[in-house]
Amino acid sequence: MKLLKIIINLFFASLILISGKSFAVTADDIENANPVGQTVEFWVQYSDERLDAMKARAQRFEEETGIKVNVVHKGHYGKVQSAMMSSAGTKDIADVARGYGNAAADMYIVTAAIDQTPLANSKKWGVTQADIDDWGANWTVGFTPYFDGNPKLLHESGKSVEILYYNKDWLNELGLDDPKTPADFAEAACAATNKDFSGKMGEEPSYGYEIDTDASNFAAWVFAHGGDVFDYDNGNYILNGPKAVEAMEFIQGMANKGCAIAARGKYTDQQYLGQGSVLFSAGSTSGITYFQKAIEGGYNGVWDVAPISYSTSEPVLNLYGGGLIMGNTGDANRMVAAYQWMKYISNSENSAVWSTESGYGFVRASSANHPAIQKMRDASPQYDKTLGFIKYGKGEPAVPGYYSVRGEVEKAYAAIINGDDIMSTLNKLNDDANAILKDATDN
Amino acid sequence: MNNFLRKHSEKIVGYSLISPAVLLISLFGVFPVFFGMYMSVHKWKVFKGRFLGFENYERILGSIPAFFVFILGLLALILSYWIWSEYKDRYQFKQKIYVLISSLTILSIGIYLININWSIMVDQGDEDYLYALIYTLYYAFFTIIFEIGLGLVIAFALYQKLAGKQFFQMILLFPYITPAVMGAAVFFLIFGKAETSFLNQFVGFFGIEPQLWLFDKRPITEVLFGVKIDGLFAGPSLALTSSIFYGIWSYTGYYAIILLAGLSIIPSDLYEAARVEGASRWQTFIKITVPLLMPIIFFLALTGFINTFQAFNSIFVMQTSSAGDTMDVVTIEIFDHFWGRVKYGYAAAEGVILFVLLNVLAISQYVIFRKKIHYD
Repeated sequence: MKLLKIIINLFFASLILISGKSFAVTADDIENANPVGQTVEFWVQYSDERLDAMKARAQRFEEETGIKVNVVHKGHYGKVQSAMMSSAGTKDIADVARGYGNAAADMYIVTAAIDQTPLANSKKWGVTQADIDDWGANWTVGFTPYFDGNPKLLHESGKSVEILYYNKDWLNELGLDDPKTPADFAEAACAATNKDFSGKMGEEPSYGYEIDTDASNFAAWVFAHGGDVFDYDNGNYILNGPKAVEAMEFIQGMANKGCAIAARGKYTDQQYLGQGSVLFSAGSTSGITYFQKAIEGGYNGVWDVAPISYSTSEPVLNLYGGGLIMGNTGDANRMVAAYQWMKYISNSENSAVWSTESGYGFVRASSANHPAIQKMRDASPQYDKTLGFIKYGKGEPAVPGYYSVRGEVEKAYAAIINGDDIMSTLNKLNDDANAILKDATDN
Repeated sequence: MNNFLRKHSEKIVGYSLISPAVLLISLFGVFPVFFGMYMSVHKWKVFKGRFLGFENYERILGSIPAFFVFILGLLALILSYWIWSEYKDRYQFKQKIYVLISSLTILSIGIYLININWSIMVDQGDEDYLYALIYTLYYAFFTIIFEIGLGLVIAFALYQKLAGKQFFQMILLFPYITPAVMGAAVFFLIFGKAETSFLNQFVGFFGIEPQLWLFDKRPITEVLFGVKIDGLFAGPSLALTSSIFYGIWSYTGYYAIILLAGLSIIPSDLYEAARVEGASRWQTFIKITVPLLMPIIFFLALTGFINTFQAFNSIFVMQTSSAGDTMDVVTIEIFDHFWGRVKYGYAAAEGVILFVLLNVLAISQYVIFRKKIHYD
């Protein structure tokens, strides 16, 4: 019995030690830190060519600075977030992780992520005002006003927006112009459903629009209708707002007519667009190379990109602000090393090159004049166009718990496409989302 | 001291020999259960927070008293069956009527308590979790019934003199040894909603319209008969039914092999005696095979229910957003709260409730099977 008691006590003692929040680093620690010889753990969602490109960049960085960077693929964004949160309070946490503002907020609550402000302000290791000016809005978007003290939780390294990809040849065959408004879009989608593309491959029936039912697509349509999904003034979700209802009526209307269909599987929208049996697909500008490959391996004709069809005076596009989150290692040397890496991959040169390698938009104004960008613009008119769309960007909520809310949005969105009552579905979704938000912030 | 050692030497050796096992089981088997209970009474988001008492349980169950009365209702059902099975053969007709009335009364009380308290819980508690229990029940019930039923038929068929018997036995184990994630990914393609999915092409040969399968949240009764039924009797969604097919596919072969082993130890003279007495194959199966296999069937049913209540991998892989919540079995719900929402304490409380329910289930299975189990 005594032995059991000792084991239990030891277990709790180790838990307390592990969870001890002795991870505070002061401004002086930062100023006196030595990053040389440190190893930066960088957890990413990148795979394939992007991962290789990032690893090559890490190699160059090590040669230039003596700081080693381990670029580790952890799976999709959610898995990066889970890995970070579950290693909170330990030295095994990544120094830098890729993620969105909401993930950063979740991590910050459990002390897995740190406020980057002291590092940015460091005279020795921080950034200059000229740098900040060059980042412009991409710098300020990393601050999270949701928390007291407005901490900087995110360091932008690439931008993308949700846009339309479409089969230009098919649209021409239908005798229609590029869609601007939701009405244009619906007309084209229904026309495509009723008239097969001459270059269509395979036996699948034609659809105007195959909808990837994720939360970003939902938000994209709400934004395009002039609405929002979160009310920052009152700090709550408005997923059942009038514009959200309008957007869903538009989507459901197309689905009811058979002109739009919920995605048949993962990335099937890309595949079928490539095979010429789907006219429109919505996706991130960072996925441009995937669409290009699907089309080149499919009907291999003319394709184009456009803003999500909008009912506002100008396009409003869902902006993906995925950036760099700093893990709380409690080690000033590692933190400074990590910050040097973050500065390096988001400098003017790397921001430009990364944009051409990944399809993400660059985050530094000065990158626009980079020869690599010019070359890519000349080679790909679609890429050139996407760079012009980023200024219309509007972000999804960077609030705690949004990752879970996204799962609920996805289910509700699919249900609406499949014919469920819009108002009651959105009302329940909004209640659930606000309950999740309350849970995430409640201590 | 020496006297003491001499007197108890046998016990000391015995306890010393089992102590490593006791320590390991305590540390890795028993301790996590209690630690889970400890977590469940705290606010726990990565790090331990404030003490909550039974707040997590209140939020999940709506009303803790209602849950206990609900459990009481379940136990009343078991009791009613126990009374009937225990006393029906002991008395004459008149007393038998009393036994029947008592049993039916307790049964009615049990159903009433379950019904009333379930409504209270759904009304006040975490609807998602409570519905997840129902989806889990569907999954477990249909999977186990078919696994054991088909397993028995296959085992009986393989028990006959059959060419290539060992080859079939090997084939039967293939689904069981296939990694769940891989098998489920293949089933995801088979049960795809595209008109060209394997299953839609197959059913097309019989003139059946393409179905949405894993993407269809309509209850199976509505899909099959076009009738909209509310509540428990609506049955699982077509999406969950599709994942049940995976469960049946992956475990039936394994069950058949276990049952086949059971068949091989039934003395052959019993079958010979039955043949001499003129018993048909069916009579032999029902009167000899099934009763003598009952300990194995009980074991498979018990472990099967526990396993299916904890099924996760395959369902997680086959989930679709179009299926809504209808594929969210309890383990998915717990996982979502644990990893997605970082509510460790809440997820632990959900796990503890599942633990309690599994215990009630184990008791009920024992009561149902106990009279039919003959180990000698």
